[in-house]
Amino acid sequence: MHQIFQSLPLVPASFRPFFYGMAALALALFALGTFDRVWLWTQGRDRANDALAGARLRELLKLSVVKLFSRDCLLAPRTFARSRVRGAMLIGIVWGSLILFAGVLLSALLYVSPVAFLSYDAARAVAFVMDVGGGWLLAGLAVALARRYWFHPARWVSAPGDGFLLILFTVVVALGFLMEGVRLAGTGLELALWYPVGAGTGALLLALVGDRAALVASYPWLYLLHAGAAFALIAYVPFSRLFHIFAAQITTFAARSMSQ
Amino acid sequence: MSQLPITNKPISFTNNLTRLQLISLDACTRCMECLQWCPVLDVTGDETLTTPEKIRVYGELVRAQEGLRAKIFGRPEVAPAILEKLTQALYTCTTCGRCGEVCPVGINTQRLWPALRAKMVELGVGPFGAQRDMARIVAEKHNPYDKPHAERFAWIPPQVTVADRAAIGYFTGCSGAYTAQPMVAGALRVMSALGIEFTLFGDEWCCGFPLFIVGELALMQELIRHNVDGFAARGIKHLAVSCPCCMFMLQNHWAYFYGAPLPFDIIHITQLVKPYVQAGKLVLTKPLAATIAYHDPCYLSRGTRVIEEPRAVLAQIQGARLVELPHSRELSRCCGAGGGIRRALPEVSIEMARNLMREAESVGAEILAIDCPACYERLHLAQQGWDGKVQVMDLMQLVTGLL
Repeated sequence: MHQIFQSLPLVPASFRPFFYGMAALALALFALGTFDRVWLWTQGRDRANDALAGARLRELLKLSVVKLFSRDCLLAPRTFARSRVRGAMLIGIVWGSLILFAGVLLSALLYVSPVAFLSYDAARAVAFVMDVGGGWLLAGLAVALARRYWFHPARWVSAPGDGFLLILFTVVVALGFLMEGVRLAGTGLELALWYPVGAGTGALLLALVGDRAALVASYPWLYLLHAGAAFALIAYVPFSRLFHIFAAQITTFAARSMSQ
Repeated sequence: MSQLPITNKPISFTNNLTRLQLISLDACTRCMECLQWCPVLDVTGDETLTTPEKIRVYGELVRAQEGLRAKIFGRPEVAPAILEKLTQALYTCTTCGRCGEVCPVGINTQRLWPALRAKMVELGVGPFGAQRDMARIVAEKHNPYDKPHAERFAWIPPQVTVADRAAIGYFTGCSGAYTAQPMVAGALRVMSALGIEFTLFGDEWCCGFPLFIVGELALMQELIRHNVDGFAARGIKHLAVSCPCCMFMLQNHWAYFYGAPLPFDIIHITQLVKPYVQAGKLVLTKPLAATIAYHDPCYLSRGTRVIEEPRAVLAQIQGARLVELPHSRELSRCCGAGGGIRRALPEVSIEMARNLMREAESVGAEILAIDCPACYERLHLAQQGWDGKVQVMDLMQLVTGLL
């Protein structure tokens, strides 16, 4: 069943220590950077009539994660109010990221679990959702890139790192689809209906390269590249402006609380 | 620990900000929506002085000076050029808060800027330009206009009666008292016409807003205690105010600087008058056949959410055609009077005022009704040497002329 949407079992055992090392380093840096940022938040004054009155480090952390699943984040009404294109772009990025994050967690659970807790049909459905979610995310990132580099409003200001983040994020997702495409091309694309984006990428790669064996051989390397880029992104989040993923949930919540 | 070169003493970049404000520094997505709405940018054309850059640079300072790396390796020196640019950016702003209103992640910039400016003052790089004299002037004259304190109430119309003690007090504010007398005189005349008994505090001082907004906080407590105690001694239960900046200050910051809950509540003059309007007691006997557009002052609409009440008063004018400006209510365009920019960058401020009057003309308004003494002063000044036709009038001035 793992072949439906799991990829780690297909990676040679010799690659795995490197994979786990990168994962541990990325998570450690993420935790350290997040603690640093959130600890700085707690250095601010407590204001009695503030939406965050009395909130301590734990409450702030909780709020920033819980509110990722709020209407304001999932449906982005404040962004839609100003621009439908940007609203759709944001929703693509948010939903796509959440779906892929949940899928990766599920995949990891399946890998370590001694019990196969997902039926074949359910696994196929999960694979479909992840594939479409990934496509959605890629589309959102493509719009964001286009907006940044080709169609941005006349009034615009750039700072070091602004574009890099977006490019890194896009590289992670694009590598994911390349990897999936290679895997699916190697396994014969018989489940193509369940992987519309991944299978499409696979068919394209097969047509371009023409050598199924070469594609299959490149899989572990693509896997490591994808994982490396993803771990770099995770580690970079708290040291970059991408930390707005968490901070913005609190300011949006506060704005809504105060407007009421 | 290394030291900041400008002040020669280590300074905390976080201590005067609230938690929410510190989080706001991390929340900006740099989507640039705010830039599309900035009325200052309409005039300056310099994107490096705008909201995303102010937030980015200050956020980087916070992390560099007080983050984990600073804890382990010591605080790096802050390049004077960075502070100078940040100061310029922070003060090239009217604090109108429109950027915050359109912000997809709800950053309350109208509250954030004064806190960052206060830090610039602490660092010795703020306030900006001619604003530097303001604290001294307010300390000496109790108003930021350098006018004699004895003339603060020289405009009181002879036909109104001011009680010694009353449930309602009226806070005049410096801008009303010295630069927009028709506005405050109109407010008193309307209250009198409605039979509202009110009192004034004859030794009223500046509400503190002009100093608060440029980051000069040293005098705040003294000013506010003087005013609160003075009004409380007159037995008031409600303090009415016309000026949106005073309203914002009284409602949001007086209790903090006073150190206790205020012994009265704060109400805008239009909020006080609205029930009388609804009861049909505000009778305007003279019609006015004119097209009137109402401008929502930044600190009344975005600052204190008083939006419907002024419109309810205007709706009483018989024969008038009321039109909305292209940008109104919470998204109104700043007239250029706020944030101390009048003093620091007068040319920018005048051009902003003209942009607002151009908006009024674009909808065919003959009268631009306003409800803010700072707007009143700025728009009238901007009309000098300008060939526009729109007449600028205060709401209460307009109403009293039709009583």
